[in-house]
This record gives sequence, C-alpha cells and structure tokens, in this order.
Amino acid sequence: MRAFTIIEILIAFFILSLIAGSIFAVTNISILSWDSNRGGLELVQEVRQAMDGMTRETRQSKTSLITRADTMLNFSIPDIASPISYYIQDNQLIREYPPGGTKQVLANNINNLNFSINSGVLQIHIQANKTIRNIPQAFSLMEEVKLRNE
Amino acid sequence: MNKRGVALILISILLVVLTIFSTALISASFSENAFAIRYLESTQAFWLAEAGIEQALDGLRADSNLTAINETMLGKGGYDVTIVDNLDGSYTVNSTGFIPFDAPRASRVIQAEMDLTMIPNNFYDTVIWSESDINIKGGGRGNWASVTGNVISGGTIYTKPANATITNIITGNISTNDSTADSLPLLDFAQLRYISKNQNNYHDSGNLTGSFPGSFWYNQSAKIPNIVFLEGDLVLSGNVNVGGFFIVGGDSIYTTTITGTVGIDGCIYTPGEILVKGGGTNLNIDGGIWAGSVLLDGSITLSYNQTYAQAVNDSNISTIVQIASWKDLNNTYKLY
Repeated sequence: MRAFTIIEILIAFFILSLIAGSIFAVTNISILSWDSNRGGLELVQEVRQAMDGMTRETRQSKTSLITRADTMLNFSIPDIASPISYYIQDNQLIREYPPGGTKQVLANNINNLNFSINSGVLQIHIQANKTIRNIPQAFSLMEEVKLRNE
Repeated sequence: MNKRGVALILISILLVVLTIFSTALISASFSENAFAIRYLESTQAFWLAEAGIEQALDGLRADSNLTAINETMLGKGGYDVTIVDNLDGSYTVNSTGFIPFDAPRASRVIQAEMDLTMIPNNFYDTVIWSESDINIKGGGRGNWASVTGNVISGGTIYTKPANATITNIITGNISTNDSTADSLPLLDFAQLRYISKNQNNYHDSGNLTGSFPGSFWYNQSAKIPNIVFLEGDLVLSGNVNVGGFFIVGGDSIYTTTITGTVGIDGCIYTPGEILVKGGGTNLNIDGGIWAGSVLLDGSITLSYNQTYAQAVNDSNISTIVQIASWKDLNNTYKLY
C-alpha cells in the first residue's frame, strides 16, 4: 500500500479547512440570528404578559379611583383598601401593592411607560428594548382598557 | 486494521445529534403553541363571561325575578350565570365563561353587583350633578365661571388656581363627597331613544354634527321638551344657540365639549365628561347638567332653570338596572 505524498495531504487539509470554515461561518450567522430573534420574541412575550396582567387589573377600576396617570399609575379597585401602583424603576416595570409593600417585577428592559385616561378609557403604552449580541431589539405596545366600574 | 466500519459509526453519531437537536426544537414549539392556546382560550372565556354579565343585565331590566341564566352556548364556548337577589334592590351576579362547551379547558369568572338606582329626590333640583370631581379653572385671564343653583358631587370640587373661593363662583348649596351622587342613575335609554326618534331629534354615531333644536320646548303649551339623543360625542362650538334635553352617549361613555359663544337653553345628561371652555367669550347655559365629571374653564354663566328641570322630571323617565361594581375573580396578581 502506497502512502500519501505531503502535497496530497496539504491539498486535503486545504480543502477540509475551506469546507470547515464555510460551515463555521454559516453556523455562526445562524446562531447569531437565532439568538437575536429568540431574544426579541422573549422581549415581546414579556411585555405582552405584563400588559395582559395590567389590563386585567385596571379594568376593575374607574376614573375617580385613579389618582395619578402619567409615567406612573396609582389606582384602586372596589373592595381593596389601599391603592396599587405601576411604575418603572431601573428599567423594570414594577407593581407595588400595598404602598411601601411588595414590589413585583412584571417585566424587564422597559424604557418607557405611559398612562392616560379619556372618557372612561385608560390607555397604556409600554416601550421595551434590549441588545442581544450587538443587535438591538425594540418593542412597543399600546392597549386601551375600558374601565368597567366607570 | 480494517477501517471500513468508521463511516457507519460517524453517521450514527451524527444522526443521534441531529435527532436530539430536532426533538428539542419540536418540543419547544409544541410548548409555545400550548401556551398560546391557553392564553387564547382564557381570553375567549373572559369575553364569554362578559357576555353572560350583559345578558343578566338585560334580563334583570326585563324581569326583576330572574335567578339564573342556564348554560348558554356561544360560538365554541358558553357561559353560565347565577343571580342572587340580595333583597335590598341589589343583585349579585356571577358569570362563568368557559371553552370549549363540552369538557371545558379554560374558564373565567366575573362577579358584578347590579342594582336599580332610583332617581334621588334632589336630582332635578341641581344645576350641576357630578358623579365624580368638578374642576373649575380660572381661564387665561382669570375669568371664573358664574354658577347659580345647587351643586352636588360624588367627588371633590377643585379650583385652579387652588386658592379661589368656591362660594364666589357658586351661588347655591354645595355638597361634595356626597354618597347620593356617587353613582349617576342610568335613565331608561330605550325610552329616551324612542321619544327622540319620534321628535326627529335622534343623532346616530354617523350624524353627530347635525342641526340641533333652537328651543328647549318641543311643544311649549304641553310642556314637552325636545329630547336630543346622541350616540357619540357632543361638540358645540362657535356662535350657536341650541335648546332641549341632551342625552350624550347613554349606555356608553362619550365626551361633551362646549367652547366659544354658545347658548344652551336646557339640560345635558351624560355618564361621561362635560368640558365647558368659556375662555373670555360669552358662554351661557340656562338649565342644568348631570354628568360623570365636569370641567368649567373660564368665563361661563351656568344657571339653574326650574321650569326646564320640572319639564324633564314630568317626562316620567324611569331608571334601569345598572352595574354598581364589577370584579374579575381571576385577577392575575395577589390582592392581599
């Protein structure tokens, strides 16, 4: 049996490295895209979940039970003695109940939160963003809640 | 050494790796899908429960002895309602929405207190009846409103600047945080719609800017007022003079905005907000207002007119069962 010549081995290694290099490049781009898309979806899910919880709770309020609605929301609902608050702290969306009591993080990576009331309808606006492997991901969600105790 | 079996081993390893990878992907997508379906069905169950509440409200308006609405199918799901008569004119209604109809996977429960709020004795004796706060602003030139008549509010009267003397603005009895005004009695809107249609004074949501009557009276000798029903926002601005008993929105919440040199001979009733912005101009309301909340900004003359109030009272408009409090029994967060 004849052995391989050094040239044959070198050519074989060269071809192998070309194939391996291109596979690595494609895989790397795929992983990057996978990670950033997945991160973006997680951001969307987190914001949607927080919005769903807030709309469900605020729906039980009414205009006269809302004492502040701008970057922060202070409101009460019937049969509950103390008010509930939603606000941003260190880019986290916080629900505080009762005042000075339990602080629950509803979502992370929040950079803007706004509330406004018009004719018995509460408008909630959330903006979130985060950077995953140098790719910025942003998501903005607005919902209108009809206050059922109006 | 025989190396011909290596390819089989390598391919087997590759297949195992690929199988693990694809199984993980498929299981992730299945769990995401299950999560999405759970969320969808919970939302559908919520709106089915809302349908149950609305049907119970409608049912109690027709029959005050209604005790339940049996399982009712709606779309792929259904709702089931129980009604407890508290024997004090109020009812506790529990509505459960569920989906699918047979063997439900998701359900949501809404509890509502419903009552028949009668028209209080002093309802037609006031120039302003506000369910919640009344805000009075001095306007750009410090022109204040001039209110003559009794004012009653379920909330507070605020002035801006805050140090204004309310008794200089309002001449009459003032009652704030008044529990009788805490809930605006809902009038029988079906009856009011019917009368206003017969008088050609009905405005649906596509015709809110149409012409309004110029006088309060539909028939002055018979003391019948014009009943003007709007299924949307009422906007009066510029140089207009209108009259009648205006009902804005009825069952739905809409806003009334009055600006400029407007003259109103009559009364306005709305569960929504009334914004009156006089600025420096001549804005005159002779009658009274019943509203969810009120803002008076600038120079406005608002006077109680007993003849008009009496004519509305004599129209024998009844009230209907309304929702006094509404609760989602599946609140997402802890409330204790």
